[in-house]
Amino acid sequence: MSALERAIANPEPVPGLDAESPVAGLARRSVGGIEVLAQSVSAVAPAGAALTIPAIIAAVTGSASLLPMLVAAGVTLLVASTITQFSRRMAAPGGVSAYIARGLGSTAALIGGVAQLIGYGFVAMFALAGTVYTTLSLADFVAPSGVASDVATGGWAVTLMVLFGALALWILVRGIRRSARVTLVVEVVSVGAIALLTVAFLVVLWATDAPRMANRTFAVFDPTGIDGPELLVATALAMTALVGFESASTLGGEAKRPLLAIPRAIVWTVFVSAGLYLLTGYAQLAGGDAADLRGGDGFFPVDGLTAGLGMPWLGAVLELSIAASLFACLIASATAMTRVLFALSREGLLPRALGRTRRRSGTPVAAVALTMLLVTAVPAVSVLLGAQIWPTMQWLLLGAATGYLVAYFLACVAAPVFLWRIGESGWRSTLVAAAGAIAVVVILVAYLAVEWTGARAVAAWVIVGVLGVTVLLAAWRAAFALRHPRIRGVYDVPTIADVWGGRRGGA
Amino acid sequence: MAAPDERSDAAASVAHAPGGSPGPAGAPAKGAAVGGVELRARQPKAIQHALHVLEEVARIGPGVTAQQVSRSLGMPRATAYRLLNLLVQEEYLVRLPDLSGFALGSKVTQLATLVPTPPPPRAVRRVVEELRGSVRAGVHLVRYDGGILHIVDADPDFPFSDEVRISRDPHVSALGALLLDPSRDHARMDSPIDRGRACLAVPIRDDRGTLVAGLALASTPARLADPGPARATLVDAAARLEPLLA
Repeated sequence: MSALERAIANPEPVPGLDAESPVAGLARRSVGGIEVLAQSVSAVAPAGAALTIPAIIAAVTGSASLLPMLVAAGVTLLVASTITQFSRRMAAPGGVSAYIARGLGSTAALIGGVAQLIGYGFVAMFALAGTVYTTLSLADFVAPSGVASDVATGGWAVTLMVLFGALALWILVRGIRRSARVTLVVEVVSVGAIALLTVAFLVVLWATDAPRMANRTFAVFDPTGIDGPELLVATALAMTALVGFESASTLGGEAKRPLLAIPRAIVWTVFVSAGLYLLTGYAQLAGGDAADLRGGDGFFPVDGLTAGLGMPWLGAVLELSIAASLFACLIASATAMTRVLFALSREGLLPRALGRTRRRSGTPVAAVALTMLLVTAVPAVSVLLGAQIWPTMQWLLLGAATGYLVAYFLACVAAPVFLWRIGESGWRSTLVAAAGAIAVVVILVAYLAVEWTGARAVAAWVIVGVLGVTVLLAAWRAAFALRHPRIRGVYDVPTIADVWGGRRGGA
Repeated sequence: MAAPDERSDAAASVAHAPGGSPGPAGAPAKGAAVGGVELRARQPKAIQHALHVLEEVARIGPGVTAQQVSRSLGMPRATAYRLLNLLVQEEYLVRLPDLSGFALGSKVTQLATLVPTPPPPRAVRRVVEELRGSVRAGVHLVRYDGGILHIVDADPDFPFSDEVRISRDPHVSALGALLLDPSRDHARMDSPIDRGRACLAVPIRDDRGTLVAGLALASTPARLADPGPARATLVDAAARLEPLLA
């Protein structure tokens, strides 16, 4: 230990450090590991998708197979593992766009940043609309008064959107520690409730008719039960239920021990979400008639599940937990969006006001206010213009998934370059990143191909148009050397206090 | 609402335990806890490698890159990268702002207090005890291995005012003054840490005259104003310790 002891006794000066990090102002090192995990899990909102995604996949492909979910989980793990190559090395509130900047530079980071803002922003809008939708149908369940019959439009929906939006704004302004606690509690309760009920449902099914369940179990896992193109489309749909797993990375400026907590949260979010989907998917597919999926006309077909247990009142409990989960998703996605806005402001790309934080709570208030204004206004105006909530939610989700997938693709391409630049590349990480990039492109193309011809074609065009304009803008900036301001991908750096022998920088 | 809150608090405090209780008091308990864990076959090797990586960063100095560490240790690159990242995650190392260089994190100083100095041989302790019995002052014995002051036997009745500072900063004690100028035949210093204290130290050398250890009397500045008689006692004891330590 002599070299170490000598270094401890006579610290060698470490030049070039500052007393403050470039992302100073945020509540540095205040969010614990479990809350960081809750941030990512909430952004995925597995409780909301757990009951719908198997049904949607089954409806689109006409096949009762769990294979697409398994493949989607595998692809997501490739991407997650590649993203953790960054998050183990840099704690950046800008998340994926900062990662892309360190690998591919300013132009790609601009595209990634817009894609990421579309992802977080649209999921936040989707979650707000979903909270309102579920609340209204819950109200109808408790007191059938016909409220839900015009659940789709009308003043009720807009009023609730403004109320929930204001509530989210209040929680976000109070600071990351409080809002992270809210998402943690909600996520534990909602994921726990759905997992518990599904297990109970499965126990009942197996106890009543074991031989039939054994047969169905075989069919659900039978790889020959689904053909290639079907598998591709279904995998793309399944993947849209997993996007958002990386949102813990936007807490880079605020997590305690960020280089440990964030990569861990990213990988565990994939396990928790995919695990829950596989559980509920298995229950719904193997349950078959007992858990009739296509019979119900609700957004969340919980009726089949709870009727199968002989306890229809459980439907209300499930709806409540889904509403809560969607609200947590709103908080988490809005948090992620504000951190990206904050980071882009610190880069000099957005107005400086968005990079200011409150002294006591460390909240980037202007970014929070702008985020919640947009997130509330878009779905509210859409409903006021006569759109129904559910179709609105669908195109929001389509846009979000496209944004996420574009950002993931760029991150997968950026990772090997980044590792090479810092001299830490290896064949294994390169292989994983390449596989992830190829899989994401294939899935993105399959996904857009499906949506291209459907009812949401307009939305697909709009999203592709926005990203196209961004690409042109970025290319124009690059071509005419408009390098000011460059996106460098700001991240939390060690300060003098973090390093043994730290000296003030300036050199 | 209360239950999950408590849970996360507990988790947070567990996560912080390794860094939370520095100081010599926590050290033995921690060592015992680590010893109590059953180590699987591959783990001791991994821990050894991690310590080598840590030491290599200390040896080469701030700004050392992952490739340099892997090359100079002859360690497979993937292993070196993984260990460096683990040490950064645990904050024993930090990644410098350029993201390719590493430096020691301020947490490494906690390791220093965890490394126990082996107790001196019985013959040495007997001489020191005898001296303690014959003078009305504290008697401390230190070694100077690798240019660092190691406290070998601190007088339990007259404890050091700040053990960590004295072992790190040679400017605050007479024993440190010997380290700064090894040619001196004694050093006397009024403690800058505690005004009521003063210290008189004499060197112990090996055959070639290299400074290996130091013996000190700790008392009040008034009592050590005329170091004459105390110094004679010290020099005598130091002469008896020389064949045992050098």
